[in-house]
Amino acid sequence: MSLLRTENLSVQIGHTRVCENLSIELKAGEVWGMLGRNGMGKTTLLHTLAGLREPHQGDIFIQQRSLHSLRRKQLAQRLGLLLQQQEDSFPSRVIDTVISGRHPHLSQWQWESAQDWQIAQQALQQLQLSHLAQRPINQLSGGERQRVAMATLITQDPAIMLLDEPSSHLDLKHQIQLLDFIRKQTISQHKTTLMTLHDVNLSARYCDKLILLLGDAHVMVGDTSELLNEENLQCLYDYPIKKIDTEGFPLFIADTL
Amino acid sequence: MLKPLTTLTLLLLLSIACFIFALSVGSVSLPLSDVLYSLLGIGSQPSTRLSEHIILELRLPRAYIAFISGGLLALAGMLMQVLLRNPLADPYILGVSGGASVAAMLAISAGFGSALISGSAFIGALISIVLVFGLSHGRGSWNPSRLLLTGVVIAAGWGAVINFILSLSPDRPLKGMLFWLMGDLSHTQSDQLSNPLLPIVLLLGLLLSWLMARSLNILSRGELQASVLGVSLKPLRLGLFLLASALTAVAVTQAGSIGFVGLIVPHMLRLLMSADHRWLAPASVLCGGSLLLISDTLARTLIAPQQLPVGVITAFIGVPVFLYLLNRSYRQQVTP
Repeated sequence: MSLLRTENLSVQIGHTRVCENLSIELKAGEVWGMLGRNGMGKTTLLHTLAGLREPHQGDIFIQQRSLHSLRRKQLAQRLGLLLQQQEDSFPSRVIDTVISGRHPHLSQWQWESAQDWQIAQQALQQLQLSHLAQRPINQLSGGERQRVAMATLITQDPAIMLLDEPSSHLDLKHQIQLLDFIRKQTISQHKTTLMTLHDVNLSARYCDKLILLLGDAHVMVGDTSELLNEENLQCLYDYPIKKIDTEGFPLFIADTL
Repeated sequence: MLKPLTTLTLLLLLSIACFIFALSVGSVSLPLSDVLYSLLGIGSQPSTRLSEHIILELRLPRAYIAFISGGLLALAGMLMQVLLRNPLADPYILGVSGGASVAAMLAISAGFGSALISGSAFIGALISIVLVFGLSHGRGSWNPSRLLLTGVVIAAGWGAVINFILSLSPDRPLKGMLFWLMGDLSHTQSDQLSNPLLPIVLLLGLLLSWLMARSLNILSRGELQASVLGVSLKPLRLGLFLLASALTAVAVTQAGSIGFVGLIVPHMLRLLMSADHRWLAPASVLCGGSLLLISDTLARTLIAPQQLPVGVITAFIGVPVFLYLLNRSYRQQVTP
């Protein structure tokens, strides 16, 4: 089932072209990755798909409905975005931050029900954050804050999850745990996930499909196994990449110039 | 942190205590029984009609205006802080009080009475609101930093005009102007009690804040995050700006420009109680009202018969209390 679809999508930042006539279809149970050098427009493309900015041209469909026909709140019930940076201007507890994910599911006057609190608690538990629930948000480390943002997204419970560098700030163990969790959630809950990553090997391990942003509207879309090779990656990162065959899956490392 | 409901109850009791205190102290100290009899008609009748007159005609209107103005300022401060996502924002940060002050001072120097001074102040505040909104909204995007900078610069401009008027003005109206600039409730008329406008503005402000409260919780986590969680930014920002400005304008018109209430009360409650605006809004009204009421009572009694500008007292009370709370909350952060 198609959850997110674009039709001839063109995105620009000023005069820089991110993509042109991009038509992709994210289906339930699929994990997508997006790779590209800094400043190639990964975040811009994610924000466009999330309806935070207008595309230059083309259409975006959320569960068969045009993005334009959805009100912000309806969109938030279907699509969630993990932002690259979190903004905490005021003191707040971790659990109060996570419960904010229920906002799109509540009507104007409604208070969070016991069930909503339970959903938030469960999300904290799934990300191994239960012990931090009562802590002020500004006492957390960068990695803990990142996982709290992920727990908020899980509490929001959208069918489409767009993640802007979900593995940033995380140590090795938490990277693997988080991506394992995202993949499991995506498959078991019939969601779809599109995430930007800077680690080629993580994307090889966790993504079914990839979008490679090569710059100047040159975009490659396809199955991970087909797209990930030395030639494409060298072109993508403008740097020599070496493939090492190990048991199970290949590893890509940066070669010397 | 205190439980929100407990805090709200405590604040309600505090407000009542402040009212009783304000009604019983002054040039003549009146016993509690006189206060209760005059207000509610319970207990024994006071010995003289005079005490009833003092309470109902002189002290009650002033206490009432002080409480409502304080509530308005604290609520407006809370809204401004979310709008600008800056804990340093206060109701005056966007220049509303500057515009009101300039207009009020022109009215004072023209020798107008207090009703006309209030009227001019209100018009001055409105002019300032429209000016800031127009300039920061004009072309291009509307973001908090642009709004903040526009407001701060407009406020600085008004400040210069105020200094200009002060330096040119003759000695006689000067004291009235200075009092107005630091907050002054001594001109309150007894007929204010029957004026329904003020409580309506306050209750309407509280109701609207309450309607937006959960969205405010989300907005305080940043505009992008708010959008992602389904908040329509444009109407919310516009509503916040207009509501906060209107509340400030009404408060300034009544009480002159009084600092610190709108800045410290919401922030203090965030540290003490909860960051949930559904609790924060009513708590800010009660706490701001109490703070201004007690400050005004002290302002007219501390060195009686001389009166002090109430803004001086709010700062004397507010600054140490705020610094203590801030210090405490940061100490907790170091040793969790």
